[in-house]
Amino acid sequence: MTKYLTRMTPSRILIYALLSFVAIVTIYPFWHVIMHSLSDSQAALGGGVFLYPRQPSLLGYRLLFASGRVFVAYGNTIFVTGVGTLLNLMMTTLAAWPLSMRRLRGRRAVALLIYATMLFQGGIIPTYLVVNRVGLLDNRWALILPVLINPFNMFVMRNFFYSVPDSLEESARIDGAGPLRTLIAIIVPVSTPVIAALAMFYGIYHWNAYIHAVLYISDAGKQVLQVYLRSMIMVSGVGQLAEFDATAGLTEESVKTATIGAAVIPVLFIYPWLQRYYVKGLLVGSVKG
Amino acid sequence: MSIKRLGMSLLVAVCVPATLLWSAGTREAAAEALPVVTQLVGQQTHPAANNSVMQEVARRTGVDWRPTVVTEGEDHSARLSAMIAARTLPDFFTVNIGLGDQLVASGLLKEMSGLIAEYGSNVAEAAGDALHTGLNTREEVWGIPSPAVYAARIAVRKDWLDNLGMSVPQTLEEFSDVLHAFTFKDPNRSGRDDTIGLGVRVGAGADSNFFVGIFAAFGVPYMRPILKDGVVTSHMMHENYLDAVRYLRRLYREGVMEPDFATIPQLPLFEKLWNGAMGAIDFFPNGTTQNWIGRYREDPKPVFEYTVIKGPDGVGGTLRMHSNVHTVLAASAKHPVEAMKLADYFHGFEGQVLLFFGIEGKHFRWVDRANYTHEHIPPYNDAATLRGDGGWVYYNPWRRAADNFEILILNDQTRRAVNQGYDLAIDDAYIYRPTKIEQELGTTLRDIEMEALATLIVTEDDLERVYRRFVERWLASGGRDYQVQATEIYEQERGL
Amino acid sequence: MYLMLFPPLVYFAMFRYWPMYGVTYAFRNYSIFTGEAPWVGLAVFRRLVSLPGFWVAFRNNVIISFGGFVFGFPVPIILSLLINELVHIRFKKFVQTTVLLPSFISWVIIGGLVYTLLSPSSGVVAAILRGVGYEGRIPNLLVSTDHFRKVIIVSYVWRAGGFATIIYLAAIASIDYELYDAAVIDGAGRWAQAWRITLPSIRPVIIILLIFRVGALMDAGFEQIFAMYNPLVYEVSEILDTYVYKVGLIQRNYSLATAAGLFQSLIGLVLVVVTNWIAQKVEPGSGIV
Repeated sequence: MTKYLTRMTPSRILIYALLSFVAIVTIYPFWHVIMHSLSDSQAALGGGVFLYPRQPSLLGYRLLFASGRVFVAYGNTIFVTGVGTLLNLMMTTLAAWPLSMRRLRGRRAVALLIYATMLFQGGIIPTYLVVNRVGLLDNRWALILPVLINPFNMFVMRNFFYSVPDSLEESARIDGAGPLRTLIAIIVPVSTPVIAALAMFYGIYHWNAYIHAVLYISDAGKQVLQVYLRSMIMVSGVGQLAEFDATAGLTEESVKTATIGAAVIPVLFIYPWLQRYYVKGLLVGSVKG
Repeated sequence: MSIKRLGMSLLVAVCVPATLLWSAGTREAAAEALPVVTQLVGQQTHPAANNSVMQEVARRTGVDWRPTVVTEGEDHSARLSAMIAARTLPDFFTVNIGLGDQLVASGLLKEMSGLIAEYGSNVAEAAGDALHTGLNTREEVWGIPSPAVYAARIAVRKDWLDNLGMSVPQTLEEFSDVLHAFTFKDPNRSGRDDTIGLGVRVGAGADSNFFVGIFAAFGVPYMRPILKDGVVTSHMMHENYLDAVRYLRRLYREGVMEPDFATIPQLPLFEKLWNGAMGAIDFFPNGTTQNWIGRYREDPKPVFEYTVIKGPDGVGGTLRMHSNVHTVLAASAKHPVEAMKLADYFHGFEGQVLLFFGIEGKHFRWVDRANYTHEHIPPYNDAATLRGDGGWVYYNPWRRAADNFEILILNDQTRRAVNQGYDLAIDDAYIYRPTKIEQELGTTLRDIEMEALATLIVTEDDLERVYRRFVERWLASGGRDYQVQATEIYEQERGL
Repeated sequence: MYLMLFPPLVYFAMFRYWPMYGVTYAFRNYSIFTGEAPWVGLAVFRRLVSLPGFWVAFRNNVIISFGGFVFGFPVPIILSLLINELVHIRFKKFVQTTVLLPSFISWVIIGGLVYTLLSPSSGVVAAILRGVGYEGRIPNLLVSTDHFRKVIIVSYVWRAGGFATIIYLAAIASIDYELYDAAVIDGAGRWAQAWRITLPSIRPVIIILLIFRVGALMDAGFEQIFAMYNPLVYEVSEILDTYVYKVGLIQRNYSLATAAGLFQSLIGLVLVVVTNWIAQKVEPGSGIV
């Protein structure tokens, strides 16, 4: 079998070529941004394709990290992402697992109620009013609690649980394990791939979340990374461009690319680590028989 | 096992920064019990919490001033709307007249004439007559006006003209000759074909500057309403509009203006200027010859000259400056007297200097105070660092209408260009209040105007037919209502 | 079981259903200034559909989102199957990571990159064409009413394809290896394995993603269009979201925006019900409810 797996057939060579192309095409925007951010901002003027940094310079990053503010912002974002993702996964599992049980009465009604929230959303203002009413304004929890469960992710997980053999859960029940124990001891371990994927999705969501922080947070000491980073660049309007001198010898484009680098690179360290759990799930699946 | 490890690592990842944050949070509680005045500021750069300028304001005025900066534009607008709906308004915030009227009508603003009379001498002096226009009436003051300052001016590369042995263009013909030479006759002596004549881009807001001077040469106030046969209507309806378009079509076809003017993003366009690849631009002078000096790559730095391009009838110039922006005080403000004292401080000379330059001796020092020349003290000579510590970012809402501080500190060439701009303004039929149809249709009418210009410049169909089609579309898409309503508002505002 | 569902339900009640009264603003004239919202029946909808430009926007919306769906939906499935064929773990992880990268880069940046690629005067594609000796006229796809939508759709697939790919890969990772072993014994080749085992095994996940994608069919991607279009292609690329944004920009007209959102949701709902019904026929027990 191993031999079979590693043999390079023509069709497999084609697949490698195709995916190499996909990799190049998908990596390029990111590569462009990083190379731009590492270039001297004057040398980077004029655009074009970036295959390597032009006159390497860390000035953009130095500017971003010059003040202590960026670390406050990182801290807030790490808090929201860490606590948020953990709670997201717990709550999503708590909803998805019962809803995947075919013997649970009323599960279809509950699923429908949850799905309805995807189609019908109150909108920015009513949500703001609720957040205000429950006293979460200018509080980091306002960035976590209103988005505890993403219905889409919940349904992905539920359908994942469908493919978990019923026999597994039944045998646990026969052993006298309660639902919660069954979930933690049996179901979660065989579902690491989907949990890892959802952790990724929730994590990225929190890491990139922006508009809620803009609306709910007033104190600059509680502000998150994305808001800080975007405040370092010209988001819109050439009008203000005229009011910006560039004494540091930097251009907006360089700072902009550096902010993207500062926002994305940490995620790239976490992602390969999460990928391991795809393989883990696979092993658990094959061992269990 | 694996899940446990995953959980544990996540927990550690969470707890460490959480603890750090908590300790950071407790430090804030040390603030003394000064009266608190809050403010929402729409701005691009966000300064640090409790920065030096905020502290300095508290020290000098005895008011615990808490400005929250939200990115100007959409973010600011969304935040303000939510705050209005939830009745969690900040004490000071900035509105245009359309929004201001609605806030006044629903009783959410505080009338300030009494406060100004008692505590706001600087405010009254700085605003001058503007204190009784716009949102305000003779008797009632609902907002402190914040003026518009910079009119677009055409700047051409003087050093390139010298290289080519040409003089500064003053007519449309001379201008197109110069642009032609800038594009094709190697004005920068590089031996390469690496230059373009005129930088332009179709867009709204500040982007509309690029076409102002050329349209003005035909007497058309670009993107402003005009008065035609007693009716306020789109600038598209001006009798010379198509002539201006024909001129632009010629520049486009000859390749002497930006060929990608419809698609080029803002920064790549400006980069051409900063790189020394562009010979002429119509934009805010405080950019071209003041704040961008540090951005120009060439050595020696490019030399610009401002010019007025005159059309066939001898007219030319730029747009008139109008502002419908006011800084207002919420009816819910807890300390209105302290708020007014704060506003008054900001409108005085000392306050203006603090807001614009930062703290003397820490952020900047005067070189020649009488001439307003100054230098920033490292590390605050870096604009981003200065803004992070509270310099400049809070200035806009407190900009004075009379004796504007920021004009005083400009270099000679730029200040001359700005002041000349006021005298060069051509007539328009600007109205301060939005029409009902604009309130219903938002920017859709304006977008038809933009679409029309871009299409008319590039179209290969019959120009007049395409033009008539756009005019009809504009009229049918709400333009007719606009004309009626705008005329009514115009007559009201001008007391006709 | 029901106890487990309790925390998620509390969440949905508080942060999803409480603000949902905001949906009623589609039938009321809501003012943020007075807080009043008198019922006006279908007046807001009538105004919405009578706005000049509404039907053009609707048509563009359908064309663009349908194009994005037809081309965008199969790509992640094919990609995940191909990635699953890779036998070099490092390369596999590498490709898995790269497909996700474009989604970290905001549409504003991607829009700038697309311009850098396609500009006929300074673009990369033009430079390459000139480099190989092409002398003819290079069309500007970004201002072409014939081609602009294609640019939108291709760049959409480019940026957004990664997320679904990751979900499919997670699903593939949890397929029982014994199934493949059995197939190998039966003499099935790699293609046959993909066709007979992998695809059927991830069918529940495909179906749920399909249903969600169909439900979101009216969402043509506000941020993308907003970042990429220009006055010369308004007539082929103005979608409902950008149109309503422009209309609501000056007047803080929440009723209109809500009505437009509800209009899209209702179309989505119909599509979802139909797809869900078909899904139940094809594979009983799949689908949302």
